Amino acid sequence: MPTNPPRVYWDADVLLSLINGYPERVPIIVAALTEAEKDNPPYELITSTLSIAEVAYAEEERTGRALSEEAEARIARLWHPRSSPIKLIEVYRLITEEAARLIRTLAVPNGWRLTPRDAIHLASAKLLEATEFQTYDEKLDKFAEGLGLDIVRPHVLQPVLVAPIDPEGVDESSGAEGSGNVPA
Amino acid sequence: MPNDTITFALEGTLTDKDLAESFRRFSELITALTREAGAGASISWTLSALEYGSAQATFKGEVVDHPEQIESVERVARAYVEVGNALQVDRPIPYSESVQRLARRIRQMLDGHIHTARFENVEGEAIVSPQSSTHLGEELISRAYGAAEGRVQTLSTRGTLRFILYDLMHDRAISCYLQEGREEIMRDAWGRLAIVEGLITRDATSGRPLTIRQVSRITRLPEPVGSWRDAMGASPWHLGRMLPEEAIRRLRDAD
Repeated sequence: MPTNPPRVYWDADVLLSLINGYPERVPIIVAALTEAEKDNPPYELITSTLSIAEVAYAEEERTGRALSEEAEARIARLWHPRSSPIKLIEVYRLITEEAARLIRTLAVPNGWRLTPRDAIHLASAKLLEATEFQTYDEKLDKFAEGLGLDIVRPHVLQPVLVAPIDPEGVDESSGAEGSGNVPA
Repeated sequence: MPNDTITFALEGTLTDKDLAESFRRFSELITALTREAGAGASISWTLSALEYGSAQATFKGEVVDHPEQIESVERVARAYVEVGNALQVDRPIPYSESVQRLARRIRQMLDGHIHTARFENVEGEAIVSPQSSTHLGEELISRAYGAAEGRVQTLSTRGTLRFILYDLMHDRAISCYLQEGREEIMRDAWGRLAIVEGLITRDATSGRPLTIRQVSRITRLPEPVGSWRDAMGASPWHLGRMLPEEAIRRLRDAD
């Protein structure tokens, strides 16, 4: 049976950075996705199904309005196995039990705050034996040693060139913005 | 739903010799169990599904010349999982010395390369590891209602209510069992990507789904239009606005 490539876990803020077209991050995220969609990818990108709700909610909080249907449909392409190399992991009992264990054994004794959502993401990565947990949230870095998991910022050997997304050219009132400036 | 199929599955790295030998031992066990639990009926066990990517085979039992006599087949199918359960927790196997010996020979196949063997029927399953779960001090299986995503596939069209969901995350076959009278929820699902909801049994170590019983819903995923690239800049960031990680942190800290 073929061996699966190593797994890299993406926290929701990595996906939100792509959806936002955050200038310094997009070239790295796009390069990582492009690598992951190859026939023999060097790694698998995974995230929790929890990220689907988190990016939508965080985006609505950030902009103060509901996402338009068009923006929602574009974001949905990140979650479909035919249109994206990102693999989703469900939130199931073993994960919630592991999340509870992390809160009990790692966070509480050290006086660290670990919310249930953070714990579910970390437990998902651990249970799937991810080699890296990639996030832009430095507050999670301190859990790396206890988890036995590298918690790092997204990185690639060769970022790709992506035309900047111009927020000024966007009608903010519609909630459906940007052309996506899709790389070739 | 008749309990008339048995599935034998091995996890690990198998050579051709391992595969042949393990299925030979499985076959000997089923022959012995058919003799003992089948109450003298002549039962034929026919391959009804074989999953690629996994050493997993399903056999459907039928009493020769009397396919309507399902009881003998069900007794053997139950005995098969009963034997697996006994091996799983190191309980005495409630059958003859011959069955006990053949069952132990399957466990002896499990070494560093072959991790576990799964004994499954329509109603339940047992996972056998080199050491019993009593010795390991942990459950080998977890059960909870939930959902799994994958491609609906099967090689069996022999009138069973069993189908295969090919798990996208773990690249393995999940045995799914519909309840009788719920066949309509399978409509148009064959070959499609779908989310299947029901009572999910998972390998408690890896979290990998093994079976889904009491399937309550199958939701086909819509055909995608476009690619992940379309999500880029779907809701652009503006200078001075909250950073993505700040927005997510605010959401999580509000828990």
